[in-house]
Amino acid sequence: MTRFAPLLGLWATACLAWAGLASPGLAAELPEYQLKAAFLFNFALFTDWPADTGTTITLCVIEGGGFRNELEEFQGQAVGTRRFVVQHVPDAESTQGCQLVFLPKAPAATMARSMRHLANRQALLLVGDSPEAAQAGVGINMAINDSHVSFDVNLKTVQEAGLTLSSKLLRLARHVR
Amino acid sequence: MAEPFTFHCRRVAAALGRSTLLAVAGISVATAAGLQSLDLEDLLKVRVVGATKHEQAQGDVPAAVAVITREEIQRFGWRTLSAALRTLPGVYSTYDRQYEQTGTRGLGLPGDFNTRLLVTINGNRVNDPVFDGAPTGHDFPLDMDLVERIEFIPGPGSAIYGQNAMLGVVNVVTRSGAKVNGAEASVGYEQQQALHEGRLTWGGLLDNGVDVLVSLSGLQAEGRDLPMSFGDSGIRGIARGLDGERIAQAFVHASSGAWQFEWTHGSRIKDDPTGAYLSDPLVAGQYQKDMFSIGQLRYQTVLARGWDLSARLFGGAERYDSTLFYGTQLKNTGESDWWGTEWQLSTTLFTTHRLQLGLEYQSNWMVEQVLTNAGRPADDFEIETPSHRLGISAQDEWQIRPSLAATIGLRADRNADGSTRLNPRAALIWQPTSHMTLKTLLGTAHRQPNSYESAYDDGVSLIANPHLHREQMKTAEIVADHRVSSDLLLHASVYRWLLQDVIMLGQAMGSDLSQYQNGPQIYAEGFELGADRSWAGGTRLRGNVSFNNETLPGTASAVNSPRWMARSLLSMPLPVAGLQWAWELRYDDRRRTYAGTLAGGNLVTDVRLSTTSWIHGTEVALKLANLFDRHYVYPAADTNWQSVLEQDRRNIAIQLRTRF
Repeated sequence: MTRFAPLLGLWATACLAWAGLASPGLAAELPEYQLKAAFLFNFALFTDWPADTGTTITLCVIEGGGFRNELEEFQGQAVGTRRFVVQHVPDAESTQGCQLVFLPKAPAATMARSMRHLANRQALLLVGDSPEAAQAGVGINMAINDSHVSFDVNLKTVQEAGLTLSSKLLRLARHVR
Repeated sequence: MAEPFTFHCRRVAAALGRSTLLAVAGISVATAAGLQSLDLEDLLKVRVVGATKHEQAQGDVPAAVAVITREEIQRFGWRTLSAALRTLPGVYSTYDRQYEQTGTRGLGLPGDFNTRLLVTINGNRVNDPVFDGAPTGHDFPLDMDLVERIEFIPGPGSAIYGQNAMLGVVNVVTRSGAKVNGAEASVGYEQQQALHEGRLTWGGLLDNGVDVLVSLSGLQAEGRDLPMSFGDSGIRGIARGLDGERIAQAFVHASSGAWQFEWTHGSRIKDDPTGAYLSDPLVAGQYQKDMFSIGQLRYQTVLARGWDLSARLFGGAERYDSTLFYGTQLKNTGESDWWGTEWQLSTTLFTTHRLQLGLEYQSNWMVEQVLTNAGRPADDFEIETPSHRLGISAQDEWQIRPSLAATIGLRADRNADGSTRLNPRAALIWQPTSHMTLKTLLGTAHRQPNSYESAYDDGVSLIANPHLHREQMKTAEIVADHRVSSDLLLHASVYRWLLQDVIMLGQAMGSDLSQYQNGPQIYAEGFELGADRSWAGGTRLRGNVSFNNETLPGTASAVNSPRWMARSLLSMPLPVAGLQWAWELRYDDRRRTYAGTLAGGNLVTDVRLSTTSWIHGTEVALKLANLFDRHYVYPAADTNWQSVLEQDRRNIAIQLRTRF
């Protein structure tokens, strides 16, 4: 052990030195949830909402995920003729009157519990960002691949909710099933 | 936490500036009113800063999964699976100038065929029925440029994957056609081996929704002229022109909706400078060749809400052949053809349980080993050992409380000899805070002796052992993952494993020939510590230290089992000429050889400089492997003349990748 101590020490010092020197450069990069916020807004834009939808498109973000105030930027923006409204709600039961619901990352069983309140609701688009959400059957699921955000569409559940997604959204999805 | 975090986010966004963001992403939108103005297509081009860089498995995954992304593979210029894997805690490589072997958690017996590691491509098994080998070097049939990510699950995986998943499972996920979106070409040159390689790839998403990828690769190397000594024979000399290598590979992928098809083909010939299997030293024309051709058709669907079905039909062929001289020419072949099917059904029907059921059948309908002795045709033989196996598995993930989950799994495998093997596993996952996950994992795994180990009998190097029986592994592990902040991850694990009836080379009774035999019980304990830190702008530092203490009764320490290992990987953009810098440090402790001596340890430094801003759409890279020209050796197998084999000195590589 003592034989390697100097070597390991040197290695650790080198690492720390590099960590200290490493300074941020310039790149087309954004924090994960700021980028995901922009995706959420776009999902609202590229959905054909039923004519009887009111004057707002309300996105309900269930607490416990990565969003803090990244969505504020989109508060009040136009979605066609309607206004985009963002609400943070404590759980799936508190999502009455929402057109979009974002389900945070959670264990499969928690996800299944949330889905009991959300599944089979008409004109409701469910969005998640975890394998568990995809498994639970959300309409659109975001993922990070190769440092980029991508999304998968579960066309069956979207159609069951009586919604239509634009062909552009479907074309840009990583997988449509 | 919230405010500094947000402040940081805002500051980064402001520093980037809308114009920079748009320009770098290749977007010509002039009205920069903020993120709202970015189109969906533009958003897909923006990189995520400081994130986990992969589709992260949740805290309730009952294993310690490590992921290597395509970005890292490219930044560091790794050209074999082994080169990428050995940067993970507890993983090390051994090259014997024939095959590159990947050792895990102290177990990497020289001369075996990576039989305790399961390697899959998109979930399709690559390990073949004759040798059971997991190719992780140049014999791996897929070009590393086609890899989207590598998932490594250390520890026993037999409760899900069956045979071979003893020390770990490596799943290689390939790129999609949509990701390639056009044509790509790459060429590479490595000075030490006089190696030339090239690749042509086309991929895209067709108008009818079909995702297609087609790729061809080739490699040719002259190899080095190596000074070699041949142990007891007393022969020494320079092996001139005996280190060459030739590779041809093809890959096809097509997917549409629920359907996915892929086929991977790779053939590799490696000349032999070592006199492998104690063949005649310094004789030209000795080589070993491997061809893998594997494919699968997969169907994935949601049967009803909460019910998922995945079905696969797979098939494969492996062709090994070698020419070695023992006074006369011996030609050896090991050939296998297989097909099989796998069905997996999972449901979250019960609110606190997720149930997964699986069925896998594999028929190794052609397994044949042939020896042709040019000098004495009487010694020729042909051994046929076709087999099949059926595996049934069940797993339940039980969410006991919101912060506590348990997983219990069991797989039963029935082999052609009628024996049934049960492998259970259990895991308890506790999340005391949203940033911390603690896991306790228990599992077992097994491996049936392969056809080569039990049946091969040539009378010159190896004799058969019909009484050889399976080996089995038991592991206990505690894992802690702590996300200190959005850009700093810490990982720690402590484990203990026990390998019973290990199948290893020994000496046959009443003979001086080698024979595979069930050896003693090997046990080991160790720990792994890792950290992963990212910075805005693309700098990333990843490092780990691991310790493994292996005990093989009657010996001082196990062969080729480094106790201490350390890895450090730094990649960062340089503020000049758009350069990207990657720096890799690997420290391996000394390893014991079969002769009882200690070889190494060594600290090897690799650096790589690359840029995409010199030529439009092209990455130009210069890599210096073993920068300080360290002289180091690895233990050889006891079927080698040598007790250690020298590794490559400083190597200059040039890599070019372009899209059009």
